[in-house]
Amino acid sequence: MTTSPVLVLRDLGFAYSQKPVFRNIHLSVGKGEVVGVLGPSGCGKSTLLKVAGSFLAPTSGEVIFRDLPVNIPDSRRIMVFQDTHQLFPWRTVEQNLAFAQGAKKDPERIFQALKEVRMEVYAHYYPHQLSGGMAQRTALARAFLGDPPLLLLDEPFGSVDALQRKELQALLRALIRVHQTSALLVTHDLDEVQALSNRIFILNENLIEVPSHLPFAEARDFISQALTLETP
Amino acid sequence: MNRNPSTRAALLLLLFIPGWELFRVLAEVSPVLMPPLVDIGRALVEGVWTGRLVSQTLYSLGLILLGGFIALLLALGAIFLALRSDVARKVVDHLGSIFHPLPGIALLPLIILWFGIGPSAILAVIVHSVLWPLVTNLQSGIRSVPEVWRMSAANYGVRGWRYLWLVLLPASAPAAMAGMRIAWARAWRALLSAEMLFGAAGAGGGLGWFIATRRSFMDTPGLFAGIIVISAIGVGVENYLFRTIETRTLVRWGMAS
Repeated sequence: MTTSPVLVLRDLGFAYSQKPVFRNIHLSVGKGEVVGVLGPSGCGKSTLLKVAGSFLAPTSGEVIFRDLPVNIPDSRRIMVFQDTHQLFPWRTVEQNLAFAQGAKKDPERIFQALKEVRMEVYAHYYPHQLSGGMAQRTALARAFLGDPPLLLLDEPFGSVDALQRKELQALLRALIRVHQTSALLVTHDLDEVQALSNRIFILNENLIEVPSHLPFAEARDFISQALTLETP
Repeated sequence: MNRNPSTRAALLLLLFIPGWELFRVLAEVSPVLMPPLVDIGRALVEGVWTGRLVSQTLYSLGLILLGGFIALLLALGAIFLALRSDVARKVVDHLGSIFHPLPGIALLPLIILWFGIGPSAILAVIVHSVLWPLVTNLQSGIRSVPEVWRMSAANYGVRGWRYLWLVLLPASAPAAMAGMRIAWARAWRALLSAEMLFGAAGAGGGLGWFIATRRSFMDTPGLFAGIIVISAIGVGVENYLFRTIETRTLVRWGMAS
């Protein structure tokens, strides 16, 4: 899986008014790879993702996307949020996807994208008429619409119930496979990170990589110890 | 009691009509001060039939529409500049905090000096009355646009005017609607006051001028007819026009109940 990296975070650091959130972060995401970053609430996971998407400027280091340093957000690195209200409420499901297409509208492509997430019959619904899971499926359709090389996933299923979460994780895996997209996923959910990621890191000011050779249960123990959490 | 506003208004009117007549007769109030409702109704029909009341109403509404449109363009320009530069944003914020609390009518003496007496002076009062509530409400609406929508717009390369038009304005629609309601109420009052003060500004004169002349001629039924039209327009704009816009936008989008 580790071909030439799509994204490289090189010696990355970020501080909020002199208070460091993280520092010396080295991380790369290869083509078609899903890299998961796990950490407790408030450890700076979302901030890391915002810096990776150039929504925040790093205080040190740089973000390299396809071998070039980047510093403004663009449609090649699409962010998907935990918030089920990320869709624009004044636009229907279909119009939310059209927003991602800009001036070049392609209704057929929108229909296909909605079909992929089984939302085509809800094309004319407004976001407030959708359940949390449906809203996240629409957000995924919008994110994958332009076939972005990289997705930045900020606990994308953190606001839906356990049953829908499993279903959405399976859908995301399928979409990543079909679109050959890379992803950087941040979450505090151990099950989610193990279910979706090829490589897992733990964020606690610095990054600790979970050895990829470890079997599932041992990796879980490793993570739990690193996070000083009890294994459920 | 029925909660439907139209039914409540109709019930209130049914109580008001005999109450008015009863009080007028029992207290022996002069018909010059309190004319019979039949006379008021006749004056209203006559005003509409001859077209005088209609033309004055259209004249006033035309002025308010034109003033509102100019104010809207100015507000959008100010908001756009405020988005582009921090200095412009601070200037707009300060101007808003200075001019927003200032009633349009308080500026009349200055406006007369600058624009003279006529439609341009009335327009200036309307523009002032609409501009600041719109600007301050839009500013506060834009400030509270959720970060996820801002980031999504940036992610899809939506910037400049498109960002304002496609994201910020619809996202701050609830605040804009509140601003429009305040702007309308202020502009309508300022317009009528200015028309009464300036007299026949322009060809029509407007509704304010209409009721001022009815008083001069001691035509109390005509005066009441003018007041009824003013009140009906106020109720119509507030309860029907704004309500319809709100139902077709904010309620439909789930941004208001």
